[in-house]
Amino acid sequence: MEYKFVPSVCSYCGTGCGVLFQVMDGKLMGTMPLKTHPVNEGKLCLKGWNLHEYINSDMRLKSPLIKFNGRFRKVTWDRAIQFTARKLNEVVKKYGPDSVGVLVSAKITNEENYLAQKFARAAIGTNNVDHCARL
Amino acid sequence: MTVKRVTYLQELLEFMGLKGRLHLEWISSAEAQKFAQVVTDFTEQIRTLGPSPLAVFTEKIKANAPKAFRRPEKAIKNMDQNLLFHGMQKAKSA
Amino acid sequence: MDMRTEVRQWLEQDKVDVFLGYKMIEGHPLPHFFSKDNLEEVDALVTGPARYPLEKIASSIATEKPGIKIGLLGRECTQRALNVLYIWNQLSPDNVKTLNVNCCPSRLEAHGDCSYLEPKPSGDYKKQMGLDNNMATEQTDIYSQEERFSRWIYEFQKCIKCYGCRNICPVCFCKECSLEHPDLVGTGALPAEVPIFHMVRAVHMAGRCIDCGLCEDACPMDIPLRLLYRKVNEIVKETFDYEAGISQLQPPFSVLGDTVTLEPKPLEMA
Repeated sequence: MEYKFVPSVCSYCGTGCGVLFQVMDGKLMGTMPLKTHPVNEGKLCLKGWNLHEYINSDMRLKSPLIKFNGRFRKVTWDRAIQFTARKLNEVVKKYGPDSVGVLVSAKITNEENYLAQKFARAAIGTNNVDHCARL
Repeated sequence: MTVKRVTYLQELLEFMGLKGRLHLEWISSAEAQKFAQVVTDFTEQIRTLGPSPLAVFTEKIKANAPKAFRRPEKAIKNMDQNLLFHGMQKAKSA
Repeated sequence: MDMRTEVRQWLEQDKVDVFLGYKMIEGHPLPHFFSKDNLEEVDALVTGPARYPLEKIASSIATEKPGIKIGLLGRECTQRALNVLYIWNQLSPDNVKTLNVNCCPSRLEAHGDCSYLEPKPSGDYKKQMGLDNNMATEQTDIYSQEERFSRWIYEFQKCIKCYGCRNICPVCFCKECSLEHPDLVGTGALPAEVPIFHMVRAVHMAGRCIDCGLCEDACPMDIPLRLLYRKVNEIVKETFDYEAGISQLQPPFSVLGDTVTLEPKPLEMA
Protein backbone atom coordinates (compact mmCIF):
# COMPACT_ATOMS: atom_id res chain seq x y z
CA MET A 1 0.00 0.00 0.00
CA GLU A 2 1.42 3.31 -0.99
CA TYR A 3 0.40 6.51 0.73
CA LYS A 4 1.85 9.86 -0.28
CA PHE A 5 1.35 13.46 0.74
CA VAL A 6 1.64 15.80 -2.22
CA PRO A 7 1.84 19.57 -1.63
CA SER A 8 0.16 21.65 -4.28
CA VAL A 9 -1.74 24.87 -4.97
CA CYS A 10 -5.51 25.17 -5.09
CA SER A 11 -6.81 25.49 -8.65
CA TYR A 12 -9.87 27.60 -8.04
CA CYS A 13 -9.44 31.35 -7.54
CA GLY A 14 -6.50 33.66 -8.00
CA THR A 15 -5.44 33.60 -4.32
CA GLY A 16 -3.54 30.33 -4.63
CA CYS A 17 -3.75 28.72 -1.17
CA GLY A 18 -1.41 25.83 -0.41
CA VAL A 19 -3.08 22.44 -0.10
CA LEU A 20 -1.83 19.00 0.81
CA PHE A 21 -3.27 16.05 -1.08
CA GLN A 22 -3.49 12.61 0.44
CA VAL A 23 -2.85 10.08 -2.32
CA MET A 24 -3.40 6.39 -1.67
CA ASP A 25 -2.39 3.87 -4.32
CA GLY A 26 -2.46 6.55 -6.98
CA LYS A 27 -5.94 7.79 -6.11
CA LEU A 28 -6.75 11.09 -4.44
CA MET A 29 -8.40 10.52 -1.08
CA GLY A 30 -8.40 13.78 0.83
CA THR A 31 -7.35 17.39 1.04
CA MET A 32 -5.79 19.28 3.90
CA PRO A 33 -4.39 22.80 4.15
CA LEU A 34 -0.65 23.44 4.26
CA LYS A 35 0.03 24.87 7.70
CA THR A 36 3.28 26.63 6.85
CA HIS A 37 2.23 28.19 3.54
CA PRO A 38 2.59 32.00 3.61
CA VAL A 39 -0.65 32.68 1.72
CA ASN A 40 -3.22 30.79 3.77
CA GLU A 41 -1.36 29.70 6.95
CA GLY A 42 -3.36 26.55 7.41
CA LYS A 43 -6.85 27.76 6.45
CA LEU A 44 -8.96 26.89 3.42
CA CYS A 45 -12.33 27.85 2.03
CA LEU A 46 -15.11 25.41 1.19
CA LYS A 47 -13.94 24.98 -2.41
CA GLY A 48 -10.42 24.19 -1.31
CA TRP A 49 -11.53 21.57 1.20
CA ASN A 50 -13.36 19.59 -1.47
CA LEU A 51 -10.77 19.55 -4.26
CA HIS A 52 -10.45 15.78 -4.04
CA GLU A 53 -14.11 15.25 -4.83
CA TYR A 54 -14.36 16.96 -8.16
CA ILE A 55 -11.25 15.32 -9.58
CA ASN A 56 -12.68 11.82 -9.22
CA SER A 57 -16.29 12.75 -9.78
CA ASP A 58 -18.50 10.69 -12.10
CA MET A 59 -20.07 13.82 -13.47
CA ARG A 60 -16.90 15.04 -15.17
CA LEU A 61 -17.13 15.43 -18.91
CA LYS A 62 -14.62 13.23 -20.71
CA SER A 63 -15.28 14.04 -24.35
CA PRO A 64 -17.09 16.75 -26.33
CA LEU A 65 -20.84 16.34 -26.69
CA ILE A 66 -23.26 17.76 -29.28
CA LYS A 67 -27.02 17.75 -28.90
CA PHE A 68 -28.89 15.83 -31.64
CA ASN A 69 -32.69 15.83 -31.37
CA GLY A 70 -32.59 16.80 -27.73
CA ARG A 71 -30.03 14.15 -26.67
CA PHE A 72 -26.31 14.50 -26.19
CA ARG A 73 -23.97 12.41 -28.37
CA LYS A 74 -20.23 11.93 -28.04
CA VAL A 75 -18.22 13.44 -30.91
CA THR A 76 -14.58 13.94 -31.78
CA TRP A 77 -12.77 17.17 -31.00
CA ASP A 78 -12.45 18.11 -34.67
CA ARG A 79 -16.14 17.81 -35.30
CA ALA A 80 -17.01 19.77 -32.17
CA ILE A 81 -14.66 22.64 -33.07
CA GLN A 82 -16.00 22.80 -36.64
CA PHE A 83 -19.58 22.83 -35.36
CA THR A 84 -18.88 25.63 -32.85
CA ALA A 85 -17.03 27.73 -35.41
CA ARG A 86 -19.82 27.37 -37.92
CA LYS A 87 -22.54 28.29 -35.45
CA LEU A 88 -20.61 31.28 -34.10
CA ASN A 89 -20.09 32.54 -37.62
CA GLU A 90 -23.81 32.28 -38.29
CA VAL A 91 -24.69 34.19 -35.15
CA VAL A 92 -22.15 36.94 -35.87
CA LYS A 93 -23.38 37.29 -39.45
CA LYS A 94 -27.03 37.44 -38.47
CA TYR A 95 -26.97 39.57 -35.30
CA GLY A 96 -23.65 41.42 -35.47
CA PRO A 97 -20.48 40.88 -33.49
CA ASP A 98 -21.75 42.56 -30.31
CA SER A 99 -24.25 39.78 -29.71
CA VAL A 100 -21.48 37.49 -28.45
CA GLY A 101 -19.91 37.77 -25.00
CA VAL A 102 -16.87 35.98 -23.62
CA LEU A 103 -16.52 35.13 -19.91
CA VAL A 104 -13.13 34.06 -18.55
CA SER A 105 -12.24 32.82 -15.10
CA ALA A 106 -9.37 32.47 -12.61
CA LYS A 107 -9.35 28.71 -13.03
CA ILE A 108 -7.56 28.83 -16.40
CA THR A 109 -4.03 30.12 -16.87
CA ASN A 110 -3.09 33.72 -17.63
CA GLU A 111 -2.01 32.74 -21.12
CA GLU A 112 -5.38 31.14 -21.84
CA ASN A 113 -7.14 34.24 -20.53
CA TYR A 114 -5.11 36.37 -22.94
CA LEU A 115 -6.05 34.09 -25.81
CA ALA A 116 -9.71 34.30 -24.91
CA GLN A 117 -9.79 38.09 -24.93
CA LYS A 118 -7.77 38.16 -28.16
CA PHE A 119 -10.26 35.78 -29.70
CA ALA A 120 -13.13 38.00 -28.61
CA ARG A 121 -11.59 41.22 -29.83
CA ALA A 122 -9.76 40.16 -33.00
CA ALA A 123 -11.65 37.09 -34.25
CA ILE A 124 -15.23 37.92 -33.30
CA GLY A 125 -14.82 41.68 -33.15
CA THR A 126 -16.59 42.46 -29.88
CA ASN A 127 -15.58 44.27 -26.70
CA ASN A 128 -17.81 42.15 -24.46
CA VAL A 129 -15.12 40.45 -22.34
CA ASP A 130 -15.52 39.96 -18.61
CA HIS A 131 -14.06 37.97 -15.72
CA CYS A 132 -15.85 35.84 -13.14
CA ALA A 133 -14.15 37.70 -10.28
CA ARG A 134 -15.82 40.94 -11.29
CA LEU A 135 -19.29 39.56 -10.48
CA MET B 1 -30.64 10.01 28.65
CA THR B 2 -33.08 12.82 28.05
CA VAL B 3 -32.31 14.33 31.43
CA LYS B 4 -28.59 14.23 30.65
CA ARG B 5 -29.02 15.91 27.29
CA VAL B 6 -31.45 18.57 28.48
CA THR B 7 -29.35 19.47 31.53
CA TYR B 8 -26.30 19.81 29.34
CA LEU B 9 -28.17 21.88 26.79
CA GLN B 10 -29.55 24.21 29.44
CA GLU B 11 -26.02 24.94 30.65
CA LEU B 12 -24.83 25.51 27.11
CA LEU B 13 -27.66 27.91 26.33
CA GLU B 14 -26.89 29.82 29.49
CA PHE B 15 -23.34 30.22 28.27
CA MET B 16 -24.65 31.57 24.97
CA GLY B 17 -27.01 34.03 26.60
CA LEU B 18 -30.34 32.23 26.21
CA LYS B 19 -30.97 31.27 29.81
CA GLY B 20 -34.19 29.72 31.00
CA ARG B 21 -35.78 29.00 27.62
CA LEU B 22 -35.68 25.22 27.87
CA HIS B 23 -37.53 23.17 30.42
CA LEU B 24 -38.13 19.46 30.89
CA GLU B 25 -41.05 17.92 32.74
CA TRP B 26 -42.48 14.41 32.86
CA ILE B 27 -46.26 14.39 32.79
CA SER B 28 -48.54 11.42 32.31
CA SER B 29 -51.60 11.77 30.10
CA ALA B 30 -53.74 11.29 33.19
CA GLU B 31 -52.35 14.32 35.03
CA ALA B 32 -54.19 16.96 33.09
CA GLN B 33 -54.20 19.54 35.85
CA LYS B 34 -50.45 19.35 36.35
CA PHE B 35 -49.99 19.80 32.60
CA ALA B 36 -52.10 22.94 32.57
CA GLN B 37 -50.23 24.31 35.57
CA VAL B 38 -46.80 23.67 34.08
CA VAL B 39 -47.71 25.22 30.74
CA THR B 40 -49.12 28.35 32.38
CA ASP B 41 -46.07 28.77 34.58
CA PHE B 42 -43.65 28.30 31.71
CA THR B 43 -45.55 30.73 29.51
CA GLU B 44 -45.35 33.26 32.32
CA GLN B 45 -41.61 32.69 32.65
CA ILE B 46 -41.07 33.19 28.93
CA ARG B 47 -43.20 36.30 28.93
CA THR B 48 -41.07 37.75 31.71
CA LEU B 49 -37.90 37.03 29.77
CA GLY B 50 -39.17 38.78 26.68
CA PRO B 51 -38.74 37.98 22.97
CA SER B 52 -35.88 35.63 22.20
CA PRO B 53 -32.80 37.51 20.95
CA LEU B 54 -32.28 34.76 18.41
CA ALA B 55 -35.67 35.34 16.80
CA VAL B 56 -35.03 39.08 16.72
CA PHE B 57 -31.68 38.49 15.05
CA THR B 58 -33.06 36.09 12.42
CA GLU B 59 -35.88 38.48 11.52
CA LYS B 60 -33.46 41.36 11.13
CA ILE B 61 -31.25 39.31 8.84
CA LYS B 62 -34.15 38.12 6.70
CA ALA B 63 -35.53 41.61 6.33
CA ASN B 64 -32.22 43.11 5.33
CA ALA B 65 -31.01 40.39 2.99
CA PRO B 66 -31.27 41.42 -0.66
CA LYS B 67 -34.03 39.64 -2.50
CA ALA B 68 -31.77 37.73 -4.87
CA PHE B 69 -29.96 35.99 -2.02
CA ARG B 70 -32.86 34.46 -0.20
CA ARG B 71 -32.89 30.69 -0.14
CA PRO B 72 -33.43 29.50 -3.74
CA GLU B 73 -35.69 26.62 -2.80
CA LYS B 74 -37.51 26.37 -6.11
CA ALA B 75 -34.34 26.23 -8.19
CA ILE B 76 -32.92 23.41 -6.10
CA LYS B 77 -36.13 21.43 -6.09
CA ASN B 78 -36.46 21.41 -9.83
CA MET B 79 -33.38 20.66 -11.81
CA ASP B 80 -30.15 20.52 -9.93
CA GLN B 81 -31.41 18.12 -7.29
CA ASN B 82 -32.10 15.44 -9.92
CA LEU B 83 -28.74 15.87 -11.57
CA LEU B 84 -26.92 15.82 -8.26
CA PHE B 85 -28.83 12.77 -7.16
CA HIS B 86 -27.90 10.84 -10.30
CA GLY B 87 -24.28 11.78 -9.97
CA MET B 88 -24.23 10.63 -6.37
CA GLN B 89 -26.00 7.39 -7.16
CA LYS B 90 -23.44 6.51 -9.80
CA ALA B 91 -20.58 7.45 -7.49
CA LYS B 92 -21.98 5.27 -4.69
CA SER B 93 -22.50 2.23 -6.85
CA ALA B 94 -19.06 2.48 -8.47
CA MET C 1 17.91 6.67 22.67
CA ASP C 2 17.79 8.81 19.62
CA MET C 3 14.37 9.16 18.00
CA ARG C 4 15.54 8.17 14.54
CA THR C 5 17.35 5.07 15.77
CA GLU C 6 14.27 3.95 17.61
CA VAL C 7 12.05 4.39 14.55
CA ARG C 8 14.55 2.52 12.42
CA GLN C 9 14.54 -0.29 14.94
CA TRP C 10 10.76 -0.48 14.98
CA LEU C 11 10.60 -0.71 11.21
CA GLU C 12 13.36 -3.27 10.92
CA GLN C 13 11.94 -5.50 13.60
CA ASP C 14 8.45 -5.30 12.05
CA LYS C 15 6.90 -3.90 15.20
CA VAL C 16 5.12 -1.43 12.91
CA ASP C 17 4.35 -1.64 9.20
CA VAL C 18 4.45 2.12 8.61
CA PHE C 19 5.44 5.12 10.67
CA LEU C 20 3.78 8.51 10.40
CA GLY C 21 6.13 11.37 11.08
CA TYR C 22 7.17 14.68 9.57
CA LYS C 23 9.75 15.37 6.91
CA MET C 24 10.96 18.64 5.44
CA ILE C 25 9.95 18.82 1.80
CA GLU C 26 10.75 22.05 -0.06
CA GLY C 27 10.92 23.98 3.17
CA HIS C 28 7.61 22.77 4.59
CA PRO C 29 7.34 20.15 7.34
CA LEU C 30 4.86 17.67 5.89
CA PRO C 31 3.52 14.38 7.25
CA HIS C 32 5.33 11.49 5.67
CA PHE C 33 5.08 7.74 5.56
CA PHE C 34 8.21 5.95 6.60
CA SER C 35 8.19 2.29 5.71
CA LYS C 36 10.64 -0.56 5.42
CA ASP C 37 11.21 0.01 1.70
CA ASN C 38 12.92 3.35 2.17
CA LEU C 39 14.72 3.11 5.49
CA GLU C 40 17.27 5.76 4.59
CA GLU C 41 14.53 8.40 4.69
CA VAL C 42 14.25 7.94 8.45
CA ASP C 43 17.31 10.13 8.82
CA ALA C 44 15.22 13.08 7.68
CA LEU C 45 12.58 12.63 10.40
CA VAL C 46 11.81 15.85 12.25
CA THR C 47 9.22 16.72 14.87
CA GLY C 48 8.55 19.90 12.97
CA PRO C 49 6.95 23.21 13.94
CA ALA C 50 3.70 22.37 12.15
CA ARG C 51 0.90 20.25 13.58
CA TYR C 52 -1.24 17.99 11.43
CA PRO C 53 -4.01 15.63 12.56
CA LEU C 54 -1.93 12.45 12.32
CA GLU C 55 -4.45 10.39 14.25
CA LYS C 56 -7.14 11.23 11.72
CA ILE C 57 -4.89 9.97 8.92
CA ALA C 58 -4.18 6.86 10.97
CA SER C 59 -7.85 6.10 11.50
CA SER C 60 -8.63 6.58 7.79
CA ILE C 61 -5.87 4.13 6.91
CA ALA C 62 -7.19 1.69 9.49
CA THR C 63 -10.62 1.76 7.84
CA GLU C 64 -9.12 1.02 4.43
CA LYS C 65 -6.69 -1.64 5.58
CA PRO C 66 -7.69 -3.13 8.91
CA GLY C 67 -4.96 -4.94 10.74
CA ILE C 68 -2.13 -2.72 9.59
CA LYS C 69 0.29 -1.70 12.35
CA ILE C 70 0.85 2.04 12.53
CA GLY C 71 3.46 4.01 14.43
CA LEU C 72 2.77 7.64 15.30
CA LEU C 73 4.71 10.66 16.42
CA GLY C 74 2.71 11.50 19.52
CA ARG C 75 2.31 14.57 21.62
CA GLU C 76 -0.02 14.84 24.57
CA CYS C 77 -2.90 15.95 22.39
CA THR C 78 -2.30 13.01 20.09
CA GLN C 79 -2.42 10.69 23.08
CA ARG C 80 -5.77 12.08 24.21
CA ALA C 81 -7.17 11.81 20.69
CA LEU C 82 -6.04 8.21 20.46
CA ASN C 83 -7.75 7.41 23.76
CA VAL C 84 -11.02 8.78 22.45
CA LEU C 85 -10.65 6.88 19.17
CA TYR C 86 -9.98 3.63 21.04
CA ILE C 87 -13.16 4.06 23.07
CA TRP C 88 -15.18 4.65 19.90
CA ASN C 89 -13.62 1.62 18.18
CA GLN C 90 -12.02 3.54 15.36
CA LEU C 91 -8.55 2.26 16.13
CA SER C 92 -7.34 -0.76 17.98
CA PRO C 93 -4.75 -0.19 20.69
CA ASP C 94 -2.88 -3.35 19.64
CA ASN C 95 -2.14 -1.89 16.23
CA VAL C 96 -0.85 1.52 17.26
CA LYS C 97 2.48 2.45 18.82
CA THR C 98 3.35 6.02 19.71
CA LEU C 99 6.69 7.71 20.05
CA ASN C 100 6.19 10.46 22.62
CA VAL C 101 7.76 13.85 22.03
CA ASN C 102 7.69 17.09 23.96
CA CYS C 103 4.45 18.91 24.28
CA CYS C 104 3.35 22.51 23.87
CA PRO C 105 3.83 24.90 26.78
CA SER C 106 0.09 25.17 27.38
CA ARG C 107 0.66 22.36 29.85
CA LEU C 108 3.54 24.30 31.41
CA GLU C 109 6.29 22.08 30.06
CA ALA C 110 9.68 23.65 29.83
CA HIS C 111 10.45 22.99 26.20
CA GLY C 112 7.88 22.72 23.47
CA ASP C 113 7.93 21.57 19.85
CA CYS C 114 4.45 22.68 18.99
CA SER C 115 3.03 25.17 16.54
CA TYR C 116 0.79 26.50 19.28
CA LEU C 117 3.69 28.11 21.15
CA GLU C 118 2.37 31.64 21.14
CA PRO C 119 -1.33 32.03 20.44
CA LYS C 120 -2.09 35.08 18.34
CA PRO C 121 -3.38 38.04 20.36
CA SER C 122 -6.81 39.33 19.31
CA GLY C 123 -7.28 42.87 18.07
CA ASP C 124 -8.99 45.66 19.99
CA TYR C 125 -12.16 45.85 17.93
CA LYS C 126 -12.70 42.14 18.29
CA LYS C 127 -12.35 42.38 22.06
CA GLN C 128 -14.83 45.23 22.09
CA MET C 129 -17.51 43.68 19.87
CA GLY C 130 -16.90 39.97 20.24
CA LEU C 131 -14.84 37.65 22.35
CA ASP C 132 -11.13 37.32 22.89
CA ASN C 133 -9.90 33.93 21.66
CA ASN C 134 -7.48 33.51 24.53
CA MET C 135 -9.73 34.30 27.46
CA ALA C 136 -10.56 31.74 30.12
CA THR C 137 -14.13 30.50 30.40
CA GLU C 138 -14.60 32.05 33.85
CA GLN C 139 -13.94 35.50 32.43
CA THR C 140 -17.13 35.35 30.38
CA ASP C 141 -19.23 35.30 33.57
CA ILE C 142 -19.00 39.06 33.86
CA TYR C 143 -21.19 39.52 30.78
CA SER C 144 -24.95 39.64 31.17
CA GLN C 145 -27.22 37.39 29.12
CA GLU C 146 -27.98 39.91 26.37
CA GLU C 147 -24.37 40.92 26.08
CA ARG C 148 -23.23 37.32 25.89
CA PHE C 149 -25.68 36.67 23.10
CA SER C 150 -24.73 39.71 21.07
CA ARG C 151 -21.03 38.93 21.42
CA TRP C 152 -21.40 35.33 20.38
CA ILE C 153 -23.63 36.29 17.46
CA TYR C 154 -21.01 38.79 16.34
CA GLU C 155 -18.50 35.96 16.22
CA PHE C 156 -20.77 33.38 14.61
CA GLN C 157 -21.97 35.77 11.95
CA LYS C 158 -18.55 35.65 10.35
CA CYS C 159 -18.80 31.92 9.70
CA ILE C 160 -18.50 31.02 6.01
CA LYS C 161 -19.38 27.35 6.59
CA CYS C 162 -16.20 26.06 5.08
CA TYR C 163 -16.54 22.94 7.32
CA GLY C 164 -12.84 23.28 8.09
CA CYS C 165 -13.35 22.77 11.82
CA ARG C 166 -15.11 19.49 11.20
CA ASN C 167 -12.77 18.27 8.46
CA ILE C 168 -9.63 18.70 10.50
CA CYS C 169 -10.95 17.57 13.89
CA PRO C 170 -9.17 14.33 14.83
CA VAL C 171 -12.17 12.88 16.70
CA CYS C 172 -14.78 13.60 14.03
CA PHE C 173 -15.27 10.42 12.03
CA CYS C 174 -18.98 10.08 11.25
CA LYS C 175 -19.64 9.01 7.69
CA GLU C 176 -23.01 10.74 7.59
CA CYS C 177 -22.34 13.95 9.41
CA SER C 178 -25.44 15.55 10.85
CA LEU C 179 -24.08 18.94 9.84
CA GLU C 180 -24.85 18.00 6.25
CA HIS C 181 -28.40 16.92 7.00
CA PRO C 182 -30.74 19.22 5.04
CA ASP C 183 -33.35 19.39 7.80
CA LEU C 184 -30.97 20.45 10.55
CA VAL C 185 -28.60 22.87 8.89
CA GLY C 186 -29.97 24.71 5.88
CA THR C 187 -27.94 25.25 2.78
CA GLY C 188 -27.92 27.78 0.00
CA ALA C 189 -28.99 30.80 2.00
CA LEU C 190 -26.87 33.91 2.15
CA PRO C 191 -25.91 34.89 4.85
CA ALA C 192 -25.48 31.44 6.41
CA GLU C 193 -27.97 30.38 9.07
CA VAL C 194 -26.10 30.83 12.28
CA PRO C 195 -25.76 29.89 15.09
CA ILE C 196 -27.38 26.51 14.45
CA PHE C 197 -24.23 25.10 12.83
CA HIS C 198 -22.10 25.86 15.85
CA MET C 199 -24.71 24.76 18.39
CA VAL C 200 -25.10 21.38 16.69
CA ARG C 201 -21.35 20.99 16.60
CA ALA C 202 -21.03 21.97 20.29
CA VAL C 203 -23.63 19.38 21.28
CA HIS C 204 -21.83 16.68 19.33
CA MET C 205 -18.46 17.59 20.81
CA ALA C 206 -19.63 16.83 24.36
CA GLY C 207 -17.53 13.98 25.66
CA ARG C 208 -15.34 13.95 22.55
CA CYS C 209 -13.41 17.21 22.29
CA ILE C 210 -9.85 16.88 23.57
CA ASP C 211 -8.89 20.56 23.30
CA CYS C 212 -6.15 20.21 20.70
CA GLY C 213 -6.92 23.57 19.08
CA LEU C 214 -6.74 22.42 15.45
CA CYS C 215 -10.24 23.74 14.74
CA GLU C 216 -9.36 27.28 15.73
CA ASP C 217 -6.18 27.07 13.67
CA ALA C 218 -8.20 26.02 10.64
CA CYS C 219 -10.96 28.63 10.98
CA PRO C 220 -10.43 31.39 8.40
CA MET C 221 -12.58 33.83 10.38
CA ASP C 222 -10.93 33.41 13.83
CA ILE C 223 -14.06 32.32 15.65
CA PRO C 224 -13.21 31.47 19.31
CA LEU C 225 -14.00 27.77 18.98
CA ARG C 226 -11.53 26.67 21.60
CA LEU C 227 -13.27 28.82 24.21
CA LEU C 228 -16.65 27.28 23.35
CA TYR C 229 -15.47 23.69 23.45
CA ARG C 230 -13.52 24.27 26.65
CA LYS C 231 -16.77 25.40 28.26
CA VAL C 232 -18.47 22.31 26.85
CA ASN C 233 -15.83 20.12 28.46
CA GLU C 234 -16.25 21.94 31.75
CA ILE C 235 -20.00 21.33 31.75
CA VAL C 236 -19.45 17.64 31.06
CA LYS C 237 -16.85 17.38 33.78
CA GLU C 238 -19.00 19.13 36.37
CA THR C 239 -22.20 17.28 35.63
CA PHE C 240 -20.94 13.81 34.73
CA ASP C 241 -17.37 13.78 36.06
CA TYR C 242 -16.07 12.64 32.68
CA GLU C 243 -13.02 13.98 30.88
CA ALA C 244 -12.59 13.10 27.23
CA GLY C 245 -9.25 11.51 26.50
CA ILE C 246 -8.40 10.79 30.13
CA SER C 247 -11.29 8.68 31.41
CA GLN C 248 -11.29 5.17 30.07
CA LEU C 249 -15.06 4.75 30.30
CA GLN C 250 -17.70 5.19 27.63
CA PRO C 251 -18.81 8.80 27.33
CA PRO C 252 -22.04 9.64 29.16
CA PHE C 253 -24.03 10.51 26.05
CA SER C 254 -23.64 7.10 24.49
CA VAL C 255 -24.60 5.05 27.50
CA LEU C 256 -28.27 4.40 28.16
CA GLY C 257 -29.12 4.63 31.81
CA ASP C 258 -27.74 6.83 34.51
CA THR C 259 -24.16 7.05 35.63
CA VAL C 260 -25.16 9.97 37.85
CA THR C 261 -28.57 10.73 39.27
CA LEU C 262 -29.95 13.88 37.75
CA GLU C 263 -33.18 15.69 38.37
CA PRO C 264 -34.72 18.03 35.82
CA LYS C 265 -34.26 21.61 36.94
CA PRO C 266 -37.34 23.26 38.42
CA LEU C 267 -38.95 26.28 36.77
CA GLU C 268 -37.56 29.59 37.88
CA MET C 269 -40.42 31.65 39.11
CA ALA C 270 -39.02 35.14 38.55
